[in-house]
Amino acid sequence: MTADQQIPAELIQKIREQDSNTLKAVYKEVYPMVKKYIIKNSGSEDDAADVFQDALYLLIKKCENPGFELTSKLSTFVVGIAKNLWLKKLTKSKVDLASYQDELIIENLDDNESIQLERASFVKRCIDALGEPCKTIIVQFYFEQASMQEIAESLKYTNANNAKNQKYKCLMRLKKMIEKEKPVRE
Amino acid sequence: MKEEEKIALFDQYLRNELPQDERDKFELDLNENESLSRDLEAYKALSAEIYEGESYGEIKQSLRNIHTELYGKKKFILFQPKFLIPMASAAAIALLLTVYNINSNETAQGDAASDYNELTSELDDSQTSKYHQEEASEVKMTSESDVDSATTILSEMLPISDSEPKGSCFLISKNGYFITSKHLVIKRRYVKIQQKDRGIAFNAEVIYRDSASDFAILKCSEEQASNFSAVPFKFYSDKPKLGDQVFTLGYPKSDIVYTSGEVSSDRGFRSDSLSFQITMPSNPGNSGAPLFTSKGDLVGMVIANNSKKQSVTYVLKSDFIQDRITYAKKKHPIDMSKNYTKRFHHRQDLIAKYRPFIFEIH
Repeated sequence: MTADQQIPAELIQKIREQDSNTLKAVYKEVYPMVKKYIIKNSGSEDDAADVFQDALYLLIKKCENPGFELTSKLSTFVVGIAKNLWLKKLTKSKVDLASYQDELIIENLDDNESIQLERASFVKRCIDALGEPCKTIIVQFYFEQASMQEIAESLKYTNANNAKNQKYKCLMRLKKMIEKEKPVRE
Repeated sequence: MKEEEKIALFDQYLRNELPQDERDKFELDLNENESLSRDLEAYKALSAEIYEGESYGEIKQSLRNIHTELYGKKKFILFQPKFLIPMASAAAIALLLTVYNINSNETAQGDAASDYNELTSELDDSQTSKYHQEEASEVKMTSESDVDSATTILSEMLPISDSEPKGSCFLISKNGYFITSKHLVIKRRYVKIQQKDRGIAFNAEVIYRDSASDFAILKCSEEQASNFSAVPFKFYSDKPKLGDQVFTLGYPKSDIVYTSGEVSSDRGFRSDSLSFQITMPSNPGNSGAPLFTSKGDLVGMVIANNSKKQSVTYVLKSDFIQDRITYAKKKHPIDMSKNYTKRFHHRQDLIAKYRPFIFEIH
């Protein structure tokens, strides 16, 4: 059964859970279409994979919204997001967009979402740039929601208090990096 | 209350770890103290952003794994999420971090972002598009056939180019790892490396691009690597100090060029803490070149200059480089053995010894 044939509500549920078989099925079905489109429109295969994965990320986020419903076939929907993301990137790289104008399908990608995407990817780069042990501490605390005690144990700090001090320093570094970007919003 | 205590209190509150009476008291404080409740909101927003950022990274990683599973490894060099910087071009990102900063303190610092010059030799349009074509055909090749073609690309001996090099790179490991400036290898999976005077030219694969700084690692084939010996220089163990004498060997033209200068600031462009500043003239092509102390220890890598200020050159710090190499070692067997038994008293001897380890990037 292809993803498009599944009952929408169940499909959404599975995507929300990031069920790996479902994601794989969607990948297999939809990626070739996105790849074809992007390569036709002056992108590389790497661009295609990157944009497609960003589109799937946005799909997962959309599915996390309780009220979300699919108004079209899933494949159409994801291809739509991917096209929009790609056209946005082309705009940024100053490619003349006149010839693409009629293709812009605004409805399933609002500005907020693409800003959210860029922001998330920026923050992720900042987290990676922290280096160790900060990266592990920050990820464990803020993403995995581990306690200070657990972090102290996993990183072999003598006590939770040391881990807490270290976490504070790491957080301040990260905050500084993240805040550098704040003023820029078009 | 100190900032640090405040954050600890917020954490406890948000995770429901406060005893009832302290919780009540804190909520009362929140009601009365507007700045405290504003701080709490800001902290919640920051936590949420960190969560979203990491969640993005995890999702992307699992999607990349699916991609690899479905379409094989060749197209994707799986090296942490960092590798996949979208079109916005790898080098731009390091710059963006600084560029974004401008708005907040332009007047205070007085350096315009446009003054920051990455030291890449200019390619005219025809050359650029040629690059892209070459790249496209290469990529196609790798996706169609398998591992074999990648091996072929890497093991091929290439003809020597007479054109100006794009920049420089240097060997850091006798098993064939080079480091260079990320902006030289944007959107390229393979780069051509050569030493004209010794008649060597071969391809190397870009195996690591740093997300935050202008830094990349390249690897050549084992076969090529068998011609290399361990590097004769070690990393400078100290921080660069103002007034330290330094020198570089790079390829601003197709022959190696020696240039010397001195450390003038321990921060880089706009107080970037990953780099420092030297007074030394530099030209396009110097990017990716190693910078040595007068004793011959590696103190950094040249990445950019300032177009407005003469002789201001920016250098990536060696402790940061070491940190990134250590990180890359998790995935790659980078052999860091050294061969620096003899100290040289004359710079000419040092240069002669180091020269074979520094290459042109085309």
